[in-house]
Order: sequence, then C-alpha cells, then structure tokens
Amino acid sequence: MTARPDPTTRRRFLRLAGGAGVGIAALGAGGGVAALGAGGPRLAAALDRAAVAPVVATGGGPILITIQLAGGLDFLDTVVPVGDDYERLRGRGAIDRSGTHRLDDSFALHPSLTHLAERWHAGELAVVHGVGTPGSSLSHFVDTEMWERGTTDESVRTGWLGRSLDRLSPGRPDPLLGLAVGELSPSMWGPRWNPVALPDDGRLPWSASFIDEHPGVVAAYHRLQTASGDPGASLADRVRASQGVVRGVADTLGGATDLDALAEAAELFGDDDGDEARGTGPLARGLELIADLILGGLETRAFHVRHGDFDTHADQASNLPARLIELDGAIDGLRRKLGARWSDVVVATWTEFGRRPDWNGNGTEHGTAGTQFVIGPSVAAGHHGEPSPLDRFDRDGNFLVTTDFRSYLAGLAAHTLGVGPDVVAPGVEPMEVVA
Amino acid sequence: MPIEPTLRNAAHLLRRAGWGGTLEEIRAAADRGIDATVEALLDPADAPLLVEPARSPGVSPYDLETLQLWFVRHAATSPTPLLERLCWFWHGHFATSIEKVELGDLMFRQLATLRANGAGRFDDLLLSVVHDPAMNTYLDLGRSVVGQPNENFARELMELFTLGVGNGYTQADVVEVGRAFTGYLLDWDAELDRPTGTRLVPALHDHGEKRILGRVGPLDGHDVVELLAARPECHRFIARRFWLRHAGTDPVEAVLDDLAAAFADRLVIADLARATFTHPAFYADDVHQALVAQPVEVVVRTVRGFELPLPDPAAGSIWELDDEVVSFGPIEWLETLGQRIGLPPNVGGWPHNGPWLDTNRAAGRLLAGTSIGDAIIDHSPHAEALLDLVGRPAAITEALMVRFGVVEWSLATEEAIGAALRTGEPDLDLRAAIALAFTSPEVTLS
Repeated sequence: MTARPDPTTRRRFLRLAGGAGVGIAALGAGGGVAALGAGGPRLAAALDRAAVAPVVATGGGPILITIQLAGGLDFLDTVVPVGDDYERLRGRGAIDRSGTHRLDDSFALHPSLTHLAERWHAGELAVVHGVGTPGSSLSHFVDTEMWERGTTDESVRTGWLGRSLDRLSPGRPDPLLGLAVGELSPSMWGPRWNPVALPDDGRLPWSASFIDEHPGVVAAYHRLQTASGDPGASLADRVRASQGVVRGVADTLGGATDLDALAEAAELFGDDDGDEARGTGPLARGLELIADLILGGLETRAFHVRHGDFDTHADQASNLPARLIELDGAIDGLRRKLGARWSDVVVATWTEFGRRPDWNGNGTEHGTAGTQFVIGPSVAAGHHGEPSPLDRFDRDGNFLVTTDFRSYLAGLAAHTLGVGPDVVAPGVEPMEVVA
Repeated sequence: MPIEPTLRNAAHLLRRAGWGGTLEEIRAAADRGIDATVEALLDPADAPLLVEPARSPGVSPYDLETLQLWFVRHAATSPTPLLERLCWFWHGHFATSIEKVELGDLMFRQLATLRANGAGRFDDLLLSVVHDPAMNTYLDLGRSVVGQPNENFARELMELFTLGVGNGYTQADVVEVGRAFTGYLLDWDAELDRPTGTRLVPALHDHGEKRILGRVGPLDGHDVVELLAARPECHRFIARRFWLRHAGTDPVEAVLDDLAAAFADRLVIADLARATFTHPAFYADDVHQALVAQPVEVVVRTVRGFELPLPDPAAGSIWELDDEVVSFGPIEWLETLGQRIGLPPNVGGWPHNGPWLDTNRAAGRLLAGTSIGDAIIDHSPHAEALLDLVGRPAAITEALMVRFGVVEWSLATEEAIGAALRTGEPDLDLRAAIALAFTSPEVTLS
C-alpha cells in the first residue's frame, strides 16, 4: 500500500465519513464535565461554560505542531547567555562557546542548533524565557502532567490541546482535528473525544486510492477514534467498540469471519513494520509524516510529537548535543518539505522543566524555569518573557520562574487555534508569541 | 467472613494473582476455596530455580528477543504463578530499560533478583535493588561520587519506589539522599567483561553528616533504605500501588488502611498480597473486569491456557531454532501489542488501563490475535480436539472458554465467535474464532 494522500484526500474523507457518521452522534454529550472528575468545581464550571458558549467555526487557520522535549531540557547550554555568568555557573561543565551561534548581544544558541539560528535571522524564531510551573515539584511526572493539563488544577482530566480542539468541533466531533504521532499525548485528551494517534513508523492508515476503493474503511476509522476515546464508556464497552470497528473494516474487505481480511484490516490501523526509507531519527520521521499529511490536504489543526530523552543527569556533554542536532535537523526537514505551506505552520516546543545551574560532574539535575522555542513565519520573532536572573535563585538553588507555563500555552492556543485563554486555564493572560 | 468461592471469583483471583487458569483449574480453585487458594499461591515450596537463557553467539550476551521468550515461557510453565507475577509487578515498579542498561544479562539478573525477593521483606528487596547493576546503570548511581552527588536515583527512590511524590520529603532530602548514595560503583568482572554487582567504594563515598527526614548522622545508602522502609508513608504508598495494579482501581481509605496495616506489621510483601487477594473489596463488582490486562499478561495467559510448546531458551540460542512460528510468536505478539519486557517507556513503568485502549493498540490486538490463532492451530496440543469439533460452533465456543479460562462469554462475544465458525472452511474459521476470542473484553480485561 502506498502512503501518499493527494490534495483531495480531506474532501473525500469528509464526504465519505459524512455518509457514515454512526456511532459518533451516539457519543454526544456523554463525556463533558463528568469526565473531569469529582473535584475542581471552579475550573469544571468554567470549562462547562466554555463547552456551551458560542464557538469559532472549524476551518483553515494556522497549524500548531507541539514538540515535547521529554526529560527536562537544560536551557543554559541551549540558549547560552553572553557574558561571564555562564562559565561561572557551569564551571568545567561549560560548553566551548566558540561554536555557538550568536543571536544578539544577550544570547547565543548551542553549536548544534545551526538551522534554528538561521530561523532567528530570518525572523522566524521566538525564544520564550523563564517558563515554568508554579511551585515546581522537580518531578518529571508531576510537572509533565501539569503541562499536559495546561492548568495546575489536578482534578482536570483533559489536556489543554484536547479542550481547545473540542472547541473547534462544537457539533459532531472531528477526531482528525488533532493528531499525535506515536502514543496519544494526554495533552490531547478531550472532554468528548480523543484525536487520532498514528504509529510513528511512517505508515498512513489510508491513501487516496484506497479510500476510493474502500469507503467503509475510512468511516470505520473515524468511528474507531471516537469509540475508543469516549471517557464515559466502561472499559468493556471501549474494548468492544474498538474490536467491532476493526471487524467492521474486515467486513468491507471480504467478511469479518475471514482471517486474512481480519489481519488486513488490523494492519490498516498501523503497528506494522516501519518504512526504513523515511528520515533518520524518530523525530525526523514523525515530522515528515506530519508534512505529508498537511501537504495531502488534511485540515488537522494540531499535531503532537515527542522527542527525548533530555534527562541529562549524566553524559550531558554527549547526549544533549545529539538530541539537539536531531531537533534542529528535523525541524528544518519539516520546513523544507512543506515549502510554501511552511507559512501555515507554528512549531512550539515544551519541556517539563529546565535544569539546575550547577554542574554535577557529569550533567545537571532537575530544575525549574526552562526556555521554549516557537518557530515559523507567523511567530512574533524575538525574545519573550524575562530571562531568569543568573545571580538569584530559589531556595533549592534553581532558576526563578518568570513566565507562567499557562500563559505560554494559552498564547499558543489563542493565537494559532483561536480559542479563548480560559479554555486552557481560567484567568491567564495569553502570551503574544504569534503575530 | 470468607469470600464466596464462585467460579467468577476464582477466575478473577487466578487472573490477578497469576496468569489465569483453564476452566478446570478455576473449578479446582473454587472447590478449594478462596483463602486456601491464596495460601497455595503464596507457598513457595515448589518454586523452581531460575535457569539462565543460553548465550547467543555474537550477541552480547542476551538480546531483547531472548529475554521476551525466556520470561513468557518461564511464567507460563511455572508451578508458582504468583511469584512470577510479583516479579513482573516489581519490574514495573523498579523499572529499568535495556535501552540505557544495554546488557541483556543485567536485565535477566535484575528479574532474578526481583523474583528472589519479590514476596519477602520489602527492605530486603529495596536493598537488593540498590545493589542491582541494572538499576545502578539506569539511574546513574555509579556516577555519583563525593562532592558531585547525582540526584537521579535519590529522587526516584523516594518519589517512585518508596514514599510517593509530596509524601513527606523535600528537595533538601533529595540532595542529602544523593550524598548518602555516593560511591556505590559497579563491580566489573574483567574476564566476563561485565558488571557482576555493585560495592561501596569508601574513598568515593561522602562520609559527612547528613540530615534525612529528620534523622542526622553520617548516613549511607543502607541507612536510607532502613529509614525509608520504616516510614508509614512508604507502607501506604506500596499498598496503594499494589492494589491499583492488581485490583485496577484506587483503594478507598478503609481498604488502604487494612492493606497498609497488614504490610507494616512485618514488612513482608506476601502479607500485603494475602491482604489484597483475600479482601472482600477485591471481589466487589466494580473490581471485576476493572483492569486492562497488560500485553505480557494476556500473552502468558494464552500460551499457558493452550499449552503452546515454546522452546527453552536455556537449552540453546533462540537464533538457532528451526521453528520460527512458535519460537518467535510471543516475541512478535508482544511487539505488536506494544509492550516488551525489559523496555518500559520510562522509570515510571508501564501505563495503567486507559492508554492500553488507544487506537493503535486496538488494531495491534487483532493483528496479534490472528497470529496467535495460527500458532494455536499449528502447535497447541489442544488443536486436534478443537478441529474435531468443527461443524459444532457451540462446542467450539465452549472449548475456547475452557482454554482461555472464561467463565461466561458475553452475548456479543459469543455471537462474534459463532458467526466466524459458520463459513465452511474449518481451519480458517477456527483461527478467526480464536482471534475474536483473544480480542474480546473477557480476555483483554483481567
């Protein structure tokens, strides 16, 4: 099976799915506030209001691609401050400054970030300083979950992207509005439905010619997203729904009772051998897949892909450059592949926390404030947020958080997806990171 | 009051405290009673010794594939399923990954350590983990020396292994625990060219005074283990995690009180297991089918139920085996289902419930199910009896119930299997029926 959707894919997809939207309507308001769990009445009420308020229409608009830098990226090595403070803080762990890419009088990028430096000079890079969670626990799990929820309210069971996408799909859920490469990020968990998760091996579950030949498959795929993502259903119902949908696909291929059809149907949904020809690392492969989908005409508004591991307690001197080179090359690969469509895209990174100023002999420990990148022709290029002071720290010796992570995420949601900041977290001021 | 020994309760117990049972085994457990069955499961008298897999030439020294086949076969054939299940639980709790550890035999050694201590005293288990070379490598313990303590192990020791985040320790404690754990280096065997253990190197250890959770002194790693294992927060944290992963739900406070009390008494893990599996709340309606079986659990359950004759990786390299279907089947099934022993996603172990039901996994289950159908028809000693029943869908549906250890198929599953058996091609029909049974809620959920 080839994996090249043509520009009419989305139109066909919608036409075909429209004719067979069973199962989706049935989910209706099933999740809603009930899915938020018992506590958190204030936020729950706010989100409930958001769910019934008038919503912007689905349609064209900027495409947000979030890249999770898992493990906690050390910003000090990544966006190196000009001046003596860096060497003073890092001691013999400091990287050789001569290979860094000077941005301006204040900062230089790590030597691995050649292409990102080019984006800076092209006016396509925003550097957001001092971003962190309030009262950081220094725990990967606590902080990652907080970033995924987009709020400090632990009773919220949905993700900031999931809630935002739900606002763009007020009537019948459209699972293709969001798409994760690899496992579905909890940042995309929605109140009524979950977006699509595709395997990261480069296979697409459909192609233009395949859709023409097997319309039922596409409709069934659409149903699978909603059925297996319905937070209100029992575990058994969710298993049965997904099983039923895959069997439904087999029916269109020659009968649900035919073993070969069953296997073929299952393969259509992914988890098979990878296509070795694609990209180099998993991140490059994931972003290339995303470029294919955008060029193929899917009107997906938010994509998520994960990159790591940045938890450099040891061997930071070799591990960090390797991960950064991959990040830099993969983003540039996306830009080149998208060509003219690059202007529709906003790429934004997030990492659960930055790292400690001190060098531990081999690497760095969990910290607080981190630096995030927003990349694309429509970003408000330049520095955002106050850089964390290099001579004042919190009681644990960590950098001071100057930018609330909720403002950063609310800014991305507001200025790319067009949803109000309250959808992310009530009462926050969205950052103007996108022009 | 004793738990009612219904078939449903007995099947539930065998699935959660082991790798499931055939319908005959479920009946035997019900006849014996729940309490007596739990005692029998906890009896290590006939526990077999672990036998290392054979080394594969040119592979250094075991690979991920050998580890999968070895563990699945071992768990499926073990006369002490609960011990193997505890080993599996602790592998998810004290998670390390071959991705960073690199040496497969360190992963084997860790599983052997977790199994040896998995039902005994928790402080002994914790101490064995401290000295485990895989853990030492995975959380950079060996990189932590006096003057340059590494916090990676120190933090996860409290956050994930003993107390839980927010349960009575601060960042200052993390720093001090990091100091206490300086100087625990890998013991390299030059001849074998791999670590065989760890030891405390006095010259690299911080002998200074530390203050940890209120205790002050020149504490070392052993002192910290003793300190943490004695904390009530630790007893509740371990009891909660044990209940969550075996019952499927968060325990209500009263249940947690019961479990923590049973565990705190002697710090014996078998006591916690007994308190869990004999608790009336464990047999409540909302606990039945409230757990998504992890792929390893459902693969072992299937291999065991159909007595698939897996080759013994101890007898020779798996790469020199002729029969690929049955030798490499379990390895492929686990990969398709999205879980591999020795390769958890991160130090937090594998996810619980929901994430196993995402769209990629739904397809993976059916794909693995069709391959399992193939393997059963071609290799299970029960295949002939199943094929003899062709033409009698009701009898086949019932026979699958016996082997999968399902007390009752739901109407929807029964209809799906029944429909698959009516197309007139015996072999293919039976394979499709097995695949559908494998993907049913009755098998997917534990």
